[in-house]
Amino acid sequence: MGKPTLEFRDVYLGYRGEVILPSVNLVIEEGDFIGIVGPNGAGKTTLLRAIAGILKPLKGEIIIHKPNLAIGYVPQRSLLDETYPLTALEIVCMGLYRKVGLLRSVRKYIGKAREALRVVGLEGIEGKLYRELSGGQKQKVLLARALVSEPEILLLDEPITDLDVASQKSMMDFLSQLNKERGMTILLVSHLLDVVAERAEKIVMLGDGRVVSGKKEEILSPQMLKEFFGIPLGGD
Amino acid sequence: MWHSFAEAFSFPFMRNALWGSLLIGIISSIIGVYVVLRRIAFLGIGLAQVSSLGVAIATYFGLNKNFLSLLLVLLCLLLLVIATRGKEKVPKEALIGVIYSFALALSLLFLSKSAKGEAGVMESLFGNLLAIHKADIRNLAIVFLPIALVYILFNKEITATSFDAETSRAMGLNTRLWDFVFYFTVGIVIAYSTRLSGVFFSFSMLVIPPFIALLSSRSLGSSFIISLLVTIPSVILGLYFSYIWDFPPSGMIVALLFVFLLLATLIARR
Repeated sequence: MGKPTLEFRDVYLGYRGEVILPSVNLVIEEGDFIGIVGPNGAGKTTLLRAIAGILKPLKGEIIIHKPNLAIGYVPQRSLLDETYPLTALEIVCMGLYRKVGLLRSVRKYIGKAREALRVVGLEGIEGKLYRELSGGQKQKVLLARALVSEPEILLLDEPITDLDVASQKSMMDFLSQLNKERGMTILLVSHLLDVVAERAEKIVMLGDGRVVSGKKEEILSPQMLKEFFGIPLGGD
Repeated sequence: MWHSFAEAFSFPFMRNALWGSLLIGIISSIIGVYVVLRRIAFLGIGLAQVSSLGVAIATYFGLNKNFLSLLLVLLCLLLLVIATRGKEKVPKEALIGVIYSFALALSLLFLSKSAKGEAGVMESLFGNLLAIHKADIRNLAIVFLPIALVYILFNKEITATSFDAETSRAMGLNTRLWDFVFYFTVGIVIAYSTRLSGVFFSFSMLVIPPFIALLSSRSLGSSFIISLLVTIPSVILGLYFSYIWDFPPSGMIVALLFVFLLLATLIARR
């Protein structure tokens, strides 16, 4: 069991005063690989946004146990506007802006951005426009942008949706490797329950305003799946 | 031709129009790239009309035109931010349309009762670049040059916030500040340029050069450069042709922008 990094204590999440997720209690520990699952509209992205610090809680406390916790965030690919004429390298460089600071050029750190692209397997596409890349390549560019900031926690929102099976596998292999070899804490939102269940050790399951979390074996029981998804899922 | 070119710009009112239009064109073509990319081009004409309303009210009551048009534009931006926070019940674009219509209606009412009457309505829409004074140029330079500097120095923060505010925020960037900087500067530029050049010219310079640039460039950096390269000759030649052929200058400049747009479309299709 790793040290707790981030903790939700009776947190209420929502927008404009309207509660979507009441009373969330959650502990994220160092080196966790957590899958956040649930039916559409259950509040998976809302929870991830709160973990990322983008959404402030309506009530309750989010405790960050580690000072200056570096968070890497990979948003849903479909939310990004592809009309921006930005290259893969320019987008990866955005992950360095905090480190670079105000009034300083990112040029000095460009090697790090190239290295991040190499790590995710995208060497040689630095100068290509983001909009001209394939779905899988775009996803990797966004992942490289998160990795270049050297995060301790990596948050990913539906990173494998719309990818073909081979790209899904390659992405999940890579995330497992980051988790095992670098000890990076990973939280992944997906509605592809089977893919997530294969890799994650812990599961946070959402549905009907309820949030339960725990070990994969406890959470993904047929009873719980029926409760949260309404229909029996899984084969075994 | 050179002789008549030199002659055209030997007149102080032509030189004032040139410097004024260049200042308005240059700053608009820079921030306009973000306005177009953020899909808020319609905000340009909405705010320009609000600024024009400020001028109309100030004219009617004998108040300071710069102050009132800027105040109304900033209040309008604040209203938009408050009204569209969280989940939108109606699209932001529609609200901008409503603001535009109200501002236009009120401008017409105030201007129809002002001393200038119908001429005032025409001037608020189409402006009069030839009426720009030296003092106006100085004021534009004092306001616009620091804004240009902000966009040069904080380009990476403004770009990241514009492209992907959520991730930038999660990764430690103060996106609220950079969003504020963007909208505040857009408000100032529109308020000042509309007061001097009218709704039509300020909106056109904010949208057309960046549109041409984005159509024909393959990087954000070159978009700014192309936007400037389209603006500067259009302003110079537009003023010159308006002088020798006796056309309204703002109409001539925008007509030249249209020629650039056709060229860019042809290049983009190749």
